[in-house]
Amino acid sequence: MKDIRERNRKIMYIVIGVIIVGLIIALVIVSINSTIKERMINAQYQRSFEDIVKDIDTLDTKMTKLLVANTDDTYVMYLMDVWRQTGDIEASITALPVKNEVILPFTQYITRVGAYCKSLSQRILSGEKISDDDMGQLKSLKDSLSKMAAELKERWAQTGGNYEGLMDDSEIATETLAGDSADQYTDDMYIKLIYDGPFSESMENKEPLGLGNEAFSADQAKTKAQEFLGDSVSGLTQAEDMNGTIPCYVFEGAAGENLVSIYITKTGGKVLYYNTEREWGMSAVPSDQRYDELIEIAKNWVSEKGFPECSASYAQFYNGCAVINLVPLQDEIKLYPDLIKVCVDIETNEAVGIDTRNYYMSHTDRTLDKATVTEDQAKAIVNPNLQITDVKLVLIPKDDNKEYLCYEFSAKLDSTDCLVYINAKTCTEENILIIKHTNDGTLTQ
Amino acid sequence: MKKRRITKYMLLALILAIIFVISACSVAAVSYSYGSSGQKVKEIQTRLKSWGFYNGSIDGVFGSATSAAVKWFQRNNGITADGVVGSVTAEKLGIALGSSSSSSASGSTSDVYLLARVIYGEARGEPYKGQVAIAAVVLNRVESSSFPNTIAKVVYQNGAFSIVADGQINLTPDDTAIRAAKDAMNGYDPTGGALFYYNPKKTTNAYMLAKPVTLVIGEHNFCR
Repeated sequence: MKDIRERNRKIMYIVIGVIIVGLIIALVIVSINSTIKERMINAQYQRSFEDIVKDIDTLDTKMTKLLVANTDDTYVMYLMDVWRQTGDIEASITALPVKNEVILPFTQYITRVGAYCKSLSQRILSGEKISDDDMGQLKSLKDSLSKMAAELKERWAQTGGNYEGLMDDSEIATETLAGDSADQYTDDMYIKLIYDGPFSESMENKEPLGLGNEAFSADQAKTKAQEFLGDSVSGLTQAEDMNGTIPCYVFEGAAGENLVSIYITKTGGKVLYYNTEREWGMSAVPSDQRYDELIEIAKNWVSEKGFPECSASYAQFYNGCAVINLVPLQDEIKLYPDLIKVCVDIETNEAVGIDTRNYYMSHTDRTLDKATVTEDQAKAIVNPNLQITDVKLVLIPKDDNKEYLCYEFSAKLDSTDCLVYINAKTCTEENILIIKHTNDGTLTQ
Repeated sequence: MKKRRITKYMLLALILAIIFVISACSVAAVSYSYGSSGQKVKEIQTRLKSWGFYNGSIDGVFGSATSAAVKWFQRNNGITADGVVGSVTAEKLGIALGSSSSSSASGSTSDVYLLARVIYGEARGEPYKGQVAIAAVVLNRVESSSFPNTIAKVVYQNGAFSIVADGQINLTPDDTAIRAAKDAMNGYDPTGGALFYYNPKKTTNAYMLAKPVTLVIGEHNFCR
């Protein structure tokens, strides 16, 4: 009896021993694995940091070459090179675990440097000569990048190339990339780039052109909202204001069981958005005939609401609705900058939403110049392999904040639908859009 | 002994019969075609009529006109035109065939689906407007000079969204999240251009708290 008990106890000790040893082995394996993973992640961060140090230095060299260069071809080559390299730097910096305070101004600066160089190269390609102002700006840019490259190299040397020199709690990081205060870095390291193009300050702080100046009170706005919505929406109450790019009063009401939101601009009292939250909706493309009917419904509705006559562009179909892009017309010219989106409920034929943000950002009383290039002259520029199906005179927005009068050629390249825009004054190709037919409707890219 | 064997055979036959009936029922439940009738057929006809593919009466009888309409609908929507309303066609028509369907990535572009995953991870249970707002912040970042220039780069930017670190980004989004993603992609921005949001109860970050708030929706403050 005693022997059996003794044996059992021994077995128990062995089992416990095996379990403990097993656990220790498992723990060691887990910890080795996690150390390996951590090292791999750190290696990625390390690579990004090394890349930034190297890339900023290369950028500095390229800027110097730009200052040395004297022919358009060389300018374009180096400017496009700078643009490409800024993309790499942006990818590296956003991969690092660095504070927003450091990363945001740095990313913004690098993005703007790239966008400025790209827009300058496009200007040179379109025949413009590089101006003294531009040369001055490139010189300041070079100085700023030299300084940044030197400081990064110093930081790299001080930390032994450790990316943690740019990490969250590092004071040095803020000093290196951002300076001690916001004022310091903008004055000191980051120069203010003046250009018309994407990401420029003038584009990012663009003011709406179509709202007018009249200030509206919340009560006046509510009256406007109810007028717009009519009797179908009841119980309109004021919700939290939206104080963004275009400040709005927001009102909510009910259309049957659905919640309706409407945004009235504080300046001008215009309807910026009207949206109906619907519980269910099918997402399918209707028949062509039905699509035409829906377009008519949308066009008539915006006309009733006081918008100019429109032509329909493309549409998306989801959640039981057709979201139709309407392009306002002026003397039969399509004004793409003023695009209005209207959402029509396919089952009830009612307009249940509108988005007029583009319209109020861009719409103004325009005096449209006459085309100096004829349709045939423009057609001669279009790729002869394209099968042209339609031509329209249109106004298109571009990312330099300007609008261009163009011939819009709807065409096919084999089975691909595309739109080619030829400038109606300079007879150059301004833009090309590819039309994609998806399960939800049509997209242009 | 013999009796027991007979009972055994009867039991086996009964089980087979039950399996057969169940499978027959389930086949009937997942597709409607020529010759079917009933309430579901009425629903199918109503949808086809609204979308402009069917001109006949809503009589609940799946006849040749309904079959032709289904084929036309299928051709127009990239589905094999067999005239049978199976699971794919039914999903497109928004009709539930017994079992509830969950959202799949197949019907959306990769951008919409990724946005929907961010919405679902960050704001499921928030008001609809709050869900659209999350997607709008992602899209505003793509447009901004201070952030990367694609949706994926913005979403997976180091430390940008906590749901990436805790894995909630990988949950399957629901229909509402997909709808909110599509609304945001189509331009609806309830935040007025916000680039950040935070939960004021959970944030102590002075940098965030110093930013002007453009909107408050549910648990989130949105700011530029």
